[in-house]
Amino acid sequence: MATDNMYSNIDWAKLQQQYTDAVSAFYSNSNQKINNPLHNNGWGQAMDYWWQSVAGQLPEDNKIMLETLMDQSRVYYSVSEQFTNLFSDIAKDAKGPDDWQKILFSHLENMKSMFDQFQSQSGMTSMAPGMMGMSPMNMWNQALSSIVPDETIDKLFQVPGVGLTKDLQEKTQKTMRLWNDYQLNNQKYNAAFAMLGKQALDNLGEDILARAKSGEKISSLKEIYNMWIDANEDVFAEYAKTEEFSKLYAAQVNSLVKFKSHYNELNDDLLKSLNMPTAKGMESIARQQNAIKKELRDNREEQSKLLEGLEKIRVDIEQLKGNKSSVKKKTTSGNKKVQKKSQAKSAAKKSPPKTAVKKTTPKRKTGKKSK
Amino acid sequence: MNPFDLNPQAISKEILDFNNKLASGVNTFTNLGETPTGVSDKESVYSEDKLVLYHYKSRSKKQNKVPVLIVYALVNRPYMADLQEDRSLIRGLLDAGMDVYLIDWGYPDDADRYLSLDDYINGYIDNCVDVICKRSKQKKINLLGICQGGTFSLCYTSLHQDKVANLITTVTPVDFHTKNDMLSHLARHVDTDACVDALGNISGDLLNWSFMMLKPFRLMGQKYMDLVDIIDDETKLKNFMTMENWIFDSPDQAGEAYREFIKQFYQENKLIKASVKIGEDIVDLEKITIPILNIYAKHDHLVPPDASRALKGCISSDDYSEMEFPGGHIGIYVSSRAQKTLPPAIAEWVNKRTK
Repeated sequence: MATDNMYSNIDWAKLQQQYTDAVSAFYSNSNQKINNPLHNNGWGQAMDYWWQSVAGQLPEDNKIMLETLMDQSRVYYSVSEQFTNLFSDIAKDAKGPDDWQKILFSHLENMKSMFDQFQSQSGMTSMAPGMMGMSPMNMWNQALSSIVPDETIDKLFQVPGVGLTKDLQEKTQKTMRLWNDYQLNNQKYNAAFAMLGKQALDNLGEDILARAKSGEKISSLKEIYNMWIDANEDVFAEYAKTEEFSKLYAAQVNSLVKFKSHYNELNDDLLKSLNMPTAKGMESIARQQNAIKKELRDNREEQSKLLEGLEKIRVDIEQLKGNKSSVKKKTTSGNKKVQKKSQAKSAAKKSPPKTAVKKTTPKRKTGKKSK
Repeated sequence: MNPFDLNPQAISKEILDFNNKLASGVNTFTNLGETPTGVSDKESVYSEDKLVLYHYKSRSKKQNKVPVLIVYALVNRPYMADLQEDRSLIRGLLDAGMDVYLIDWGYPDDADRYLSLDDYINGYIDNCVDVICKRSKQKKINLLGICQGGTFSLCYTSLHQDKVANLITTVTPVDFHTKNDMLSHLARHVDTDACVDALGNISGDLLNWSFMMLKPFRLMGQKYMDLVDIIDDETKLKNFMTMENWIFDSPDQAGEAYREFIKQFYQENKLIKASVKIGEDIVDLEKITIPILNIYAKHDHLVPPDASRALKGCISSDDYSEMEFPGGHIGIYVSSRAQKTLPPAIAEWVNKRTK
């Protein structure tokens, strides 16, 4: 039967061989020869083998960055593998021109089921959002992952402590309860991301259909990967605007912080019992140091103002001194003027003025004199 | 019609190319060497606790006598403004005849846990301004704030306007509750008091994660896949790693300052309500009357344009200008377009007001 299925005449076995060649590129760059793991592993696993062989030889500075790159490569391989399987199925099963759509959506449903698996576990699957591995809470997860969070367990942690070790029992129970609370919030958060992941796959399917309708071709695995990223980013951007997300995020952070706070108290109890400095004590010192520093700053400011004031006073005094000396100078020159005037007067006495001086009779005081 | 234009040969070639690039790229990485953390000549002119005030060596004969002090954010490191020879806001300003100073806040540790915004703004910034005034024999200097450093500069200007001639704010949040402010949305319900009480200083990695949470798939995934395309080009790889190292060079945040900033600014949006308290002082932006140039990035996902542009309605200055840069929060400093437009525009604006 004639069909426009472009995959029907393709030798997928040959693809496997070419793929083998592709992955062997890793080994030609590896100094360490190891068994080729291709025949029973996926692309990502093949890279893992190669990575194990070279990671030890890499400089520490760039190692974390390269590990991130490897993590993302695994995600890329995973997406690529899923779609390569899809192409293989289209080649095998698509009979009519539009059958590829049914197969596509069937594959997408299959991929969505991986998120259900993710939702039911606290770990991550290769198709789960790559950023999960970068959560700052991850280290806590790793440190205490053996504790299985459960709402029924939470009730157990609320049983009151008894006997001589009552205090210790209650503190331990509180630790477990707070940790459990964090795990529950973390699960809800991850579940929301799993839901977004499924929604993104729906959107990816729609985007592929839209491309088909517009006649636009998808010509590389990277293009599919980018479409998948775009779909995830769009779905996340919408969800991140909601109050629900804001509260979900806060609940996760707040519950972790509560746990951490209680954990600090327990640590301090232990340190105190060993007669060692506690975090609380160190904080107290830091607080006091800061207060002293502020006081010092205020004193310096005060001192600076006082010095400024003193300087002003000094300048004023200098000015006053300057004025006084200028007054003296003025006085001296003034006396000279007075002398000149008196000399002139005595000269006038010696030679009476041409005009007569009007004599005035002093006024007498009036009134009674008291005896 | 089936849109997949992919056949097994094309797929295997693509995977082969990818694998080859990845494998050879690892070798390129091993030969990469260290990435720069600031490239322009500078000298330390003042230090206090972890803070260092740098003065950059002049690169121009004709120089504006009024210095510019760059106040960087507490988040990440200030060498982003001087990342590489061809990607440096500072170099651009020096070439344009500016006399440039920069505050490097350093890496706060446990001893700095109780540093407050009062210490940063009325203490450190004010001390730096005094030092620069004395050195340059000027009564006032110009301030250029970057992101959170812009917000600090606004607070400082409101409280010490007599020491500021002109203020340039770049990608600076003013209204922290605008519609598209995802960072604010993320912080809205977080119990900040509990965070600081439990963690003390806030880890820089934790903050970085919050920033990346705004575009998680692109910033934690796609970015690295795109890297594979350039991984065999040593120059491009070095550029990428310079930026990458800067992104993850994140100092911890002094606990009290973080508490005050998140609560007063992000959660309660007090800056536009004239009720932010710094020490004993209330910050009222309406007191600001000096010339202001407010530069924002059109595609900023950390500080949306509206969050910056709100400044216009909060101040009393008659000399307020806005400049929109067609890029993102970081691109405004490191993109090649930014090098050509931003420093000359800032210098021209400043030179019109002070010489």
